[in-house]
Amino acid sequence: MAPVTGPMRPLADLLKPAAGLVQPAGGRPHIAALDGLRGLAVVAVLLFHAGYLRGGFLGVDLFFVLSGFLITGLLLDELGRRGRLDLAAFWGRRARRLLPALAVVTVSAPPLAWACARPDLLAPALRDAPWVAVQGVNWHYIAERIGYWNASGTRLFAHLWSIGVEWQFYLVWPLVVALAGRGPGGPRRVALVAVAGAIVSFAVMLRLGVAVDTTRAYEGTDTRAFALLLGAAAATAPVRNAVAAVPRVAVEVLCGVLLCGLVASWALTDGERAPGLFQGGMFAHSLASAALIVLLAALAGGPGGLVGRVVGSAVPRRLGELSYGLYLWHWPIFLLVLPREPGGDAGRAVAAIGLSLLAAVVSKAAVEDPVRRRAPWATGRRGWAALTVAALLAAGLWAAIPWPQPGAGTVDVSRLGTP
Amino acid sequence: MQPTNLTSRLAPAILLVAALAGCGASATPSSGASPRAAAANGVRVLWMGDSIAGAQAPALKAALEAGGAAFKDATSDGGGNVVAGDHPVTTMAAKDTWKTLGENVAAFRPTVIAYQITTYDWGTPAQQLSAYRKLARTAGDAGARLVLVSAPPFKLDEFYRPYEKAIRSAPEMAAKAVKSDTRARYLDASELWGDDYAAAKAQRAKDGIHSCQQGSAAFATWFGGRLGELARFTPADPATWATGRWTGDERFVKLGCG
Repeated sequence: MAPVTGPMRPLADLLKPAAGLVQPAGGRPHIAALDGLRGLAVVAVLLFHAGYLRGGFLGVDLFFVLSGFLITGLLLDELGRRGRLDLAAFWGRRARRLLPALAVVTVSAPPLAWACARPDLLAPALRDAPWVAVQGVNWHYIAERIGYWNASGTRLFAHLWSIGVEWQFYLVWPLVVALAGRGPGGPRRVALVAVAGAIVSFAVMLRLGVAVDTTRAYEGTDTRAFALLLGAAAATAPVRNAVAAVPRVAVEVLCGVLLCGLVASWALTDGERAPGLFQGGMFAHSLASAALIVLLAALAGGPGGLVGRVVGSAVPRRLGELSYGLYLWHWPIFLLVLPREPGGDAGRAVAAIGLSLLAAVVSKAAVEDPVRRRAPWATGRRGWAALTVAALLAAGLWAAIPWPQPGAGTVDVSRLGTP
Repeated sequence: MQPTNLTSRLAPAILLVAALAGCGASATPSSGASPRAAAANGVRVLWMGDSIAGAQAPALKAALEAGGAAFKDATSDGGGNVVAGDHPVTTMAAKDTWKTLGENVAAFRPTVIAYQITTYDWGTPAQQLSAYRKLARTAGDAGARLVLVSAPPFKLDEFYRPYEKAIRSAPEMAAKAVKSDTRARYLDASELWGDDYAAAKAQRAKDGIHSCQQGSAAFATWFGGRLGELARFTPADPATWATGRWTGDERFVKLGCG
């Protein structure tokens, strides 16, 4: 049987036009199947938050693995081509890609809560917003003991813990790659560091996962790093060489098995209290995700396989392209539109998902793409002016919006009697 | 509407900058009295329990301090239990509780240690009895009076249902543990809450487990009265503390209490 792609090629080569690749207007070629995986992951998260898929929160884990894989691939490509990393340019590109849409959500959500007369959501959102802005909201929630599983219904930005984790990874990991990946044997060293880091991260999760409230284990950058690092390891030459040597038929079968396994785990995992979730379950999910990603990426270099074609088909791929905006917008919209008890009203869930989709489309067209593709208003002096205006607008809104007084009028002294 | 307080709004950013600058600022909120807070009436209450007791703590602090007592909240969300039992979670949490108790006894020097039976006091009746007796000994050694109070009725959801037997036996073992101890007392809170978590009398939040501000104020009034009898002090009139700033505590926001 022939191997999947023959001798291992750089990830950049895989991104040349082939059956499994798509070329977005003005952007780098994408592996369609990985875009599709992102689409499946965001659907899982949406259904979980709507109360219809108890294990859908594992979609976030798949996001992490995908991010680790793609970012590390880009970093290693650059290191291989140029012999060094332009870290400032990397962080600039990440900021252009991620911050504009995040800023719009962070600035828009509190006024929406105010307009919807939800002071219970407004006050926490105003308190959390600065932490979102500094990409540390996951640690804020952990420090304030805001239990993700119980109290997220009072926080418009509860879901942004994962964005904080990703950003913290983006700040640190390129430095590690720049140091470990330089020179002969660099990719191998990066792979070793990633695997070692993943093992340490898993050990931390094992330790912290033994708790009634598992928010610390769920939202910690240290405990979730293994997903990003397993994705990173999968992007390195040693792993991709090993995959390239696997017969194509076996790869296609493995892709099918892994994809079915992931989807089954989303359907069968019974919420955050599922047995073994923090004792290896989430790690196994990350491992399976990393394996599926590297296998799909290998298939994308050739004529593409059945699983790759299905996952990379139009609907999942389009959802994947919208996944960032969808993820950012869905939770504030869910809280403002859905009834308090999830799963109780399918009509409202559909409406909330529809609104989230609409917000994501608008976000991509009006904010994400223009900034990423350097529209005239988003570059040079005009870009800085736009950024300054946006920052001033955000700060002014945050300072000016009337804060509700929580707790006012909640105690009727006449009902207390005497001590 | 509360007037805008820019300083409090900037606090997270200031804290982060301070932490990044190595100032050692902690993001964990202070949740009790300063270690040696003065007590006008000489009564110093160390309040222990889980998150249910934690939701009662802001009101209890307001009530007791208004009455001249010093108060320290030593409750722990998702823990606070003294019964270790056989479950890894409760074993680890109990270890933390005993360690923290030792530190609090040394630093705060309580005259009353009050422990509300937690929802995690999972264990056999013998283990429960042993833990509560150990608590009584610890209080006695510290020269403090021990008050054990039963938990309010709460919703036994799928998380708690496997431990229902232990949850039911804990109050009985607590009462038994202090029966012949003149410095310790068991209080049955069902006279305040009743026995049905779903009844209006139980005053549970939407989660069926914790109390909102009104329930916490009711508990503080009731418990303050009982404590006043035991420790010989006059509790403050609820009108002086029940509508204070404590009603805006973050805990109630998390519980969706308004």
